[in-house]
Amino acid sequence: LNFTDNVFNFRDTLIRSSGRHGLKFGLEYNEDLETGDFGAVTRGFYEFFSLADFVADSPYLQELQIDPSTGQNILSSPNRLRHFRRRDFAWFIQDDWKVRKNLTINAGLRHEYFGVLTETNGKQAGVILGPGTTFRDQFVNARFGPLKQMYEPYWKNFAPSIGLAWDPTGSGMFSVRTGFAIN
Amino acid sequence: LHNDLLTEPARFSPPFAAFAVAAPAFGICNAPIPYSVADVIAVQPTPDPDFAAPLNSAGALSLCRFSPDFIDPRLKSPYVEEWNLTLQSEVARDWVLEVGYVGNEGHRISFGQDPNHNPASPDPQQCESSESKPFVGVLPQYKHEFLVQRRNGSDQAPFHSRILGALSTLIGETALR
Repeated sequence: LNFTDNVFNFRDTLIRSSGRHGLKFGLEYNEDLETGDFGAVTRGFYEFFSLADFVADSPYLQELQIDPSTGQNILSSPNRLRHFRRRDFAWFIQDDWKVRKNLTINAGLRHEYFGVLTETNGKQAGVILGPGTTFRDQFVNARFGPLKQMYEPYWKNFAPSIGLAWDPTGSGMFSVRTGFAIN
Repeated sequence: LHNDLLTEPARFSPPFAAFAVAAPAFGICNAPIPYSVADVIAVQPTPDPDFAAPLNSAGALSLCRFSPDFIDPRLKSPYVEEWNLTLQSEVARDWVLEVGYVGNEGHRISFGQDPNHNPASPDPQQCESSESKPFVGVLPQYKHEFLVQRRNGSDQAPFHSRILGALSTLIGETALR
């Protein structure tokens, strides 16, 4: 078994307090480098409904991993090494604003990009949906083939948040807290 | 989809068409897997530029046992909307009453989907009944929670009960230390 997983991570947060504001800004970067020989299910995988089916050599599920470019068992293939890569990136900005003595507002925005797994040499495959107006039509017209990425990257993961803490009486005996966030 | 495979095999590009052509000879649901465990171990599938499924040339698989498992190419990150409102009052020395509402709603939550299922057909050849299956599209998930909490210290012993599925109550009792 040949498997190496190197993960690199960088993150930093800047905090600045100025007057009634408490500002925070941060960012994070994550890189995952995984290299392996993809050696699962090399000797076959079988599942049986019952012991009787096992004795009768009648599995309901049979699975074998092959090299799709040669049709050979992946165990004997020189083509089984994979170099998977994934990169994530995120940043946020937040302000804790003390509007009055008895009112504080918290507001922030976070943006995250979750990287899509890629193989540096293009050695991954999956379903490529075909033409059609519905998912069903697209699936029945689908085919298997090499894929650079299993799905398209999505860049619109914005996560706003807002909240407040309010003491309407100003006595310190009663408080109202409310908030909304997307995570 | 089963019926589509039988009546309109031309709609299916390889390897789906191969299953459609072979299935009528065996019957959709009862076709035996035409090779043994030993055959599977020894099988040397024919190379196919489209990464065709490793079919044994001597037979066919049952459609009902054909189960492609893949990541949806339309996948997008799920997210959750959360909101809350809490009223907190010191009703007596060392006693705080808290009444709150917490709600959230999930969007684009990942779920399994069986595209090989035909929910509309009463055809007895179908392997599955017409039971409801996961649908195509956004799967929302809601949770609403009301909580009433009374506390007078740092250690709490909350009592949490669920009413009518989505509605629940939380009552906290704390011993003064």
